[in-house]
Amino acid sequence: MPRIDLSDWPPYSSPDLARREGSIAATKLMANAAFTAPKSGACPNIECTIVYGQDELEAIAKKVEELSLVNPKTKLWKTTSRSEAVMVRESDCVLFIGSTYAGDVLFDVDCGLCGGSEQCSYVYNKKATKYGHIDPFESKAANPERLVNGPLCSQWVNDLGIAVGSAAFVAGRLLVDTRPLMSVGVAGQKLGYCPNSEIAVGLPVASLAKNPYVDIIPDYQYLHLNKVIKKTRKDYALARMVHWFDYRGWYPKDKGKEE
Amino acid sequence: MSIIDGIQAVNENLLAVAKVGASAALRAPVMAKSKVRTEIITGEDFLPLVELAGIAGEINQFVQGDYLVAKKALEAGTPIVELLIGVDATLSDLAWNCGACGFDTCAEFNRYSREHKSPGKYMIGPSCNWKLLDHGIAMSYGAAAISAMNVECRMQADYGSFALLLGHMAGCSMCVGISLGPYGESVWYNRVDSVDSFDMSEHMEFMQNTLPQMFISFPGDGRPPFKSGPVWGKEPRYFKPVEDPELMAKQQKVGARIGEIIAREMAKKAAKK
Repeated sequence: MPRIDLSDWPPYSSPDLARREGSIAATKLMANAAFTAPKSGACPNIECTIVYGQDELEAIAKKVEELSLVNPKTKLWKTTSRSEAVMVRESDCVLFIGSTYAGDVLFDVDCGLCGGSEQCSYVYNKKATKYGHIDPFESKAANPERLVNGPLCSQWVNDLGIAVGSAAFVAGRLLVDTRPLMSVGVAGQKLGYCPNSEIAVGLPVASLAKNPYVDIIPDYQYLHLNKVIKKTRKDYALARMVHWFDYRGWYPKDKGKEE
Repeated sequence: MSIIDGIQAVNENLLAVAKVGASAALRAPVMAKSKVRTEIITGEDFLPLVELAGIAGEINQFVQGDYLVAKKALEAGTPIVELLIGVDATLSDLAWNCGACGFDTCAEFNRYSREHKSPGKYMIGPSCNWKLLDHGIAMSYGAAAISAMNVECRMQADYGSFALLLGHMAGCSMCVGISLGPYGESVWYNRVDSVDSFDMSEHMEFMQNTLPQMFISFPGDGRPPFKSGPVWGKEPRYFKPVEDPELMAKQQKVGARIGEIIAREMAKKAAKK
């Protein structure tokens, strides 16, 4: 009889991969929700990428760790990023949602969010422009070190938030865990995900017994579950080496009792 | 046995559902530690917002559409409850130094913001983009919670902007409203109440102003005629950017009238205190 066994342990075992398929299906629906989320002027301005697989998630986690070094004067940046790298490793997949308009096609409504009374010229004046259009390549070349190639159209950025919120809301409805993370979004973009966006948010997704995005321990990079397991495996192996026990020849006696 | 009229029940529920929307907005998974604020406007306090929409709608068709729905609803005695969701995005306490605002560091952004914080047409800037993202997430949670309860609603930046102008949501630089009600199907979308609000010539003028590329003929000669009808070649006309002093004067007058209403409402508030 056909059957599917699911388990969240051990990671990447066959039953675990079957369980992860459910998370990926939920993540696709989250992406759909991001697309149908309310948009300013109903303009289609987002794109999504879903990434799964051990090597792929490891690459994202390593990139987040790399980014943890970019603000050396900010301790919280480092500790937060390091914790979020662990979260990526514990996830089933990651949904990236990016804004395809924020960097080069402005809403042009002079709302004032990006630069107050300067209105849209706040962005145009800081970018390479011609005919009232922005060249994102030239603009990026001017500040290659930045995590995000700003300034951006804030109206679209708010829209991106609405899309992220809708995706997160759907995750909640489907009872899978997620959390929108800046560090993961930036790392994903550095790896080429959401390639048409100047800003993206990463939402790692998991369906595990314990939500991996809350109740985080301080110094999580030292004290996450994989570390505990690695340490336990080492200690267990060493403990076995202390009493060299010939299990076929004898069994330890209870002290003071006759056999 | 007590009997409750269905429409009365729906109207009374709007406030309760708005409160649930506010709860959802305030527990949304924000990314940048933003302090999301909410406020619910009901009854007479909603009227000045509609009044401003009516005036601003004279020069903005988006706003005019939102005004017409509210006007018709209020004339019919059908309440609308406005849930406001906002943040102050003009300062960053993040030290992420990401560059999204256009500055290399949050410290530079904060310095610039303290010196240049000012209103644009609708909101106040400059903004930390991650705070605005948080605002969007909160908006989404609020609207999704309301929608999940099958209550008619729509996010509207215009009512949020008018609320800021009238002194609501003090301290917020960004505010968007979610209008709950009037009851009915897709009231804020298909706009069945807006019947006969424009004729075909007005529609054509609107389309030509907003999508001019749809009305030009073969562009190869460098000066494509405007396709005014099936035989546009006989009396060719051409698009040309022009100044519009009449429109600018109208915009100024509308701005002045909006200023008068704001002053009137502020005086009322001061008198109450």
